[in-house]
Amino acid sequence: MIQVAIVDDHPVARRGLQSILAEAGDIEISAAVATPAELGPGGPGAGRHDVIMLDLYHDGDQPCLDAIESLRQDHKVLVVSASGRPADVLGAIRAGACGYVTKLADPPMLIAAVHTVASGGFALSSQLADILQGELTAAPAAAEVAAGTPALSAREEETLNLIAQGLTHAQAASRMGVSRATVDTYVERIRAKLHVGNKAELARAAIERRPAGGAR
Amino acid sequence: MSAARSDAAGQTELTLARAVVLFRLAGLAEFWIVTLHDASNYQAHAVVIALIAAVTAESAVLSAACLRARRVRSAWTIADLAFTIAVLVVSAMVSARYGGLYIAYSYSVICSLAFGVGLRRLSAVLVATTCLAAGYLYGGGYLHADPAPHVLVNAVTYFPNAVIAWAIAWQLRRMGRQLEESQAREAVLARDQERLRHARMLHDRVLQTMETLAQGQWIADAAVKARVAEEAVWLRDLVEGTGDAAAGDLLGQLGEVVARVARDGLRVEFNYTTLRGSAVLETLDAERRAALVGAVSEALTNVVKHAGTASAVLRLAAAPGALVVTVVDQGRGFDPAAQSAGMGLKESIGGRVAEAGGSVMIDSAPGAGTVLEITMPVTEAASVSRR
Repeated sequence: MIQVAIVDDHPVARRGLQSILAEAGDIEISAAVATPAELGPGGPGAGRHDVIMLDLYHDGDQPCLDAIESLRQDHKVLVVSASGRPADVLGAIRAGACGYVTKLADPPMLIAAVHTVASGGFALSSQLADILQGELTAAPAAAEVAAGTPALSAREEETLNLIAQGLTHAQAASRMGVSRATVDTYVERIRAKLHVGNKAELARAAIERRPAGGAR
Repeated sequence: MSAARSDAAGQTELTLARAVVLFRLAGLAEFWIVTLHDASNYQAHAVVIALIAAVTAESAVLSAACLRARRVRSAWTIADLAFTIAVLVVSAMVSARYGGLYIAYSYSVICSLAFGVGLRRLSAVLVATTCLAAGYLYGGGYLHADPAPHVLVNAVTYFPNAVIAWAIAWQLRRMGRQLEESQAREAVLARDQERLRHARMLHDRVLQTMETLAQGQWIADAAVKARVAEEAVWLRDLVEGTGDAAAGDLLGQLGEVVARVARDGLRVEFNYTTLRGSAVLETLDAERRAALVGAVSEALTNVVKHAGTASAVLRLAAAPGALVVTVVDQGRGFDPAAQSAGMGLKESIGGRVAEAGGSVMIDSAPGAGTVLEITMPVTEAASVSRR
């Protein structure tokens, strides 16, 4: 059984996730709490968790990047968010999240993401794939954005593009004429390249988070 | 915009209008003092009284107009100029005949200040001042026969007055406009911040509840559930609306399609991340836009009817020279070679897209979901590299 802790300040959303994950059969909810702090020692959610499903926004408009950084030390973190500004989503991945799914994802996709993360993989949604592609594709205009980040290979870019369309890893593999394991490897490499991005990038993303002049 | 507009420019105009009134009152006072002081030299009192009455009446009319309108208009200034020249000539004729002082000069000097304020363009101020100086040269130099050096120096005096008054008024008006613009920008910014705050609150509370209710078994009544799903899509559109999806454009129309199929229980992840801030959508003509919306609507309806799944991904991306729209579901799929299953999709979607110059690719197999990819060419100049 995969032990999953749900961290979401919204009680109805918490119930929703619980009921979806319960359908999987091999997933057990080890905790369902409102804040990351409750997972700490002595809190109601203390214990062993294989995957922590973390809502990106808690009580305000700042993404909880600090919580991701501290939780990832002992757990695999899957970020669940209704939506997110590209800079926040990128920040979450760079802070150490193993994946990002939207709350709109259908139950099979949500469960698949939990399985992927539990087995040490990187769970990508359609939107996240496009955000990562934007970040990592070394277009001339994006040279500044991609500073310090290695460029994607053509195959990795193709992989991201197919995942952005909504294809599963298996479907992407068959479209590309490679094995499923190869696609998994591409996705792993994409994650690794993302983590090479320097600290200054993170700082810049933090500055961009401030809501000024509309959420773009 | 007009509601957020401040009145800095209006305040400036009122200040300048008051300055014109004060110049005029000072000029009028001077005209009275000089005329009354010199009145004993005139025999024709009736003419002098008529002159004073005319100047006083004109001053009253001009001042009232300025205060009432809270501004000074160029047309009034031009009329005032004509009147002032007339006063210069008439008073020269009167005083020349009776041998008195040339009573209108000091009055006209103060009037010239108001011309600088009332006329917006420097060229207009220079022309008006030249006319005034010419009127003075005729009245003071020819009719009243004052010494030539005096007359020349006096005529030149108008120019610095009017030009300096114009420069100060110009600067004031410019500052008023700038203040107004920056206040308008601040108001827009404040409104955006407020809108963002409200959107965030709706997003974090109401939308979360509605989207959870729209999924799963919480609501037993199918019609109520469909309604909640539709409203959730609408609310998401509202709170995430960043101006990208204005009604009538491609994103807005596709958003409506997404909301419509949500009513039938299909959740669509609508991903147009890479198009944010891109110009590619603007170059899509109405025919191609309509073809795309029709094709996506058909494809999603097809997912609802045949795919046996509750979710799909709709994604838009720019490729070199084209817009690529994909509809992907993980439903039961079909064999594209089999006539019955494939033909409907191919014909209804492919035909329309091909007419608009695009192409459709369908990739499906039984049990393996369906990928539908529409490639619609856009004007080459506007295509942007993928980001």
